[in-house]
Amino acid sequence: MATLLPGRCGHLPGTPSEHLPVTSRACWVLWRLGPLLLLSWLLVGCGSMATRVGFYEPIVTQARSGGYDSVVVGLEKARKDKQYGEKDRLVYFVDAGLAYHYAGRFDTSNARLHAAENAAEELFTKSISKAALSLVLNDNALDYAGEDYEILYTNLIKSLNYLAENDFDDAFVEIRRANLKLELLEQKYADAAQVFQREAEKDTSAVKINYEPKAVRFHNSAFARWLSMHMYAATGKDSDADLDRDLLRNAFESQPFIYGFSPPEISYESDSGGVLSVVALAGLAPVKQALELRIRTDKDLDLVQVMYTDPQLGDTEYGHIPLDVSEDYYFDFAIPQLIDRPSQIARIEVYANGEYVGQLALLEDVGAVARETFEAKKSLIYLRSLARAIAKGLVAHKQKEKADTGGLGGWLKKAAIDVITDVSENADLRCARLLPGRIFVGDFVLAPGIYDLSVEFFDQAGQRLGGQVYSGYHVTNGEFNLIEAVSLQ
Amino acid sequence: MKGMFLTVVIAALLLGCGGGKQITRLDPNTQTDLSGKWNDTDSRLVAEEMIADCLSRPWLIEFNRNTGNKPVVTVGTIDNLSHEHIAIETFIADFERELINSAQVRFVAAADWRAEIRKERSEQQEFASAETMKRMRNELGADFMLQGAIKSIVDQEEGKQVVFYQTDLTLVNIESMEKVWIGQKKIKKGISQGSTKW
Repeated sequence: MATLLPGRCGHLPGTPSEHLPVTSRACWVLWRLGPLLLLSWLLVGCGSMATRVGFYEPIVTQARSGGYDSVVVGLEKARKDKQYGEKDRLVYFVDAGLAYHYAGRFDTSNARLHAAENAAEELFTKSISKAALSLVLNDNALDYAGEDYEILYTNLIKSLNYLAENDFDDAFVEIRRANLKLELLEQKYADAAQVFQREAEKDTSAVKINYEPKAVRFHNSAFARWLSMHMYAATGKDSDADLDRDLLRNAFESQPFIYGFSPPEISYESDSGGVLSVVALAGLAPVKQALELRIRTDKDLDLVQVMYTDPQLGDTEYGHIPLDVSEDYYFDFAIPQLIDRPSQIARIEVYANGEYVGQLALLEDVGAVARETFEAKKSLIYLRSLARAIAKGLVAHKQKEKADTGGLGGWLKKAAIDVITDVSENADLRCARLLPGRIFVGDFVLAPGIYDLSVEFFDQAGQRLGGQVYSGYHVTNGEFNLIEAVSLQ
Repeated sequence: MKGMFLTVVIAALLLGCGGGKQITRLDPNTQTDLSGKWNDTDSRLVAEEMIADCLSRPWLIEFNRNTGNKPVVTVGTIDNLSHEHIAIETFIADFERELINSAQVRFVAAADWRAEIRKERSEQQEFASAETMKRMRNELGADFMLQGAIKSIVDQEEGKQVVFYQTDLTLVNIESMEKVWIGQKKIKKGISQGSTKW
């Protein structure tokens, strides 16, 4: 767990800086530069420091309705229109890679996803160093290094791209890369904590953060195992296929917090025919939304007022704590939370030559993976936000004391300072918005031959939402007969 | 003062216009390690070292002594079992080049090349003149096949990755299935990430 150590700015007013210990001297600088800092927070906090998400609305609507070519056009236009800054490039690469994949443009998808993976590797350590060094900076000002679940599915979607092009070798490489990342995940955050602590020693801010990442409990992806099991089987490596089948089962047994449902029936070989394997990407993964918290103390009323805006309820709620307070403080902070995007899809069925073959079963809940892997970094994000809010709140308080000249003018000045503090604080809501929410699979034995296949999506009421048709698909014995369907509804 | 201002403006313009992409031609034999990932230099050096090792081992002398001929070698499958996308065709080509250039073995084309050549020869039977037509069933049969795999192990510390590449090759007698040579070459590389283009 992470802890926040309070600063020593309480000693500052009126104390000459040269007589202060180093940490307090840093606070003194912060104090004296208060107006300048406040102005810079105002300048950088309102525009470029807030995550731009509005432009995604029509794109996501198109994605949900299956207009993937339009999604590609929308994303490329957004890039051209500079909706993405260079610091946001990873989000663009992931979403564009996914959009091109859904549109069946596998080469371009791989190029974008490859860039996403490179950017993530390049930026992760840098982002941790910067997070330690600059408390003043809103997280939105830093390069976005991606969440682990985004990078994991980058590899798995790339693997699907290579499989669509019948390139097993490269599909295998992507599975290995995904598995490797999961193996190194715990180490990655242990290293990140070291980098953070080392860089934090150079920190000049008033508040020290002790970042200790929460242990990552996700280390084995059932979807990655399912893909590699089939690939091994198709290349005649049955013992490796068996091993992956066992590892898939182990993913369910050892990670019930991710796989809180029964594992699907899986099969990669049959004496009586070929195995048709179907993967369906359904719904959309969670996205980040801001939870805004405001804490105000009122010395006249002896009250601590807590306000928060819940991303799901959308309301501002109030809580009051009667407490003897000696100063009027105002702290505002916004933190990102992962919020589910409900899917309409309740059932997915497979048909061959118009006849019902079977139903797909859930293999991986991307939302559960997202929530679990986000935990490791969440404490750092939250504590940085809190530390920044405290530092800004203290500076704002000092400015308000100066501005408190009485009368309407003084009141207006104080209100303006509160507004500045409010608008300059924005949660970093950057995340991929086109990741699928759930992955369903099914392995069905069919006599070798040519089939007109279809995958149909249904809602809870049994109403057909859409489907995909694969005419003249050749099911062969001993090969990985894979079809993929997508519905992001 | 005015002249200085003009000079500064012109200099700024010149500097501003000269910021295009620069291309430098490099000697293909120079070692370039931009990212730390597997590259052409690794492929070439591993092929050179492993083939040199292979050709310095007793199996070659024994074969020469027993048959009085140079052994005929072909390259089979070299699997990429690493976590990197490796251009295996380039790697195989490096092995083939080293084997042929050694002049100590004779070399026949790999299976996927043979199919195309056989098709051409087959068509010659129908379309080429009798004088120029190449005979069927007159290929040089390989005595040995080289097979292998590249594997990788990744370690990570403080965000820096160290990758350990291991290439394993085996030379197998095609008739007896006897393994006559096993070679192994290890490379350890530190990986650093460059800037992603935007």
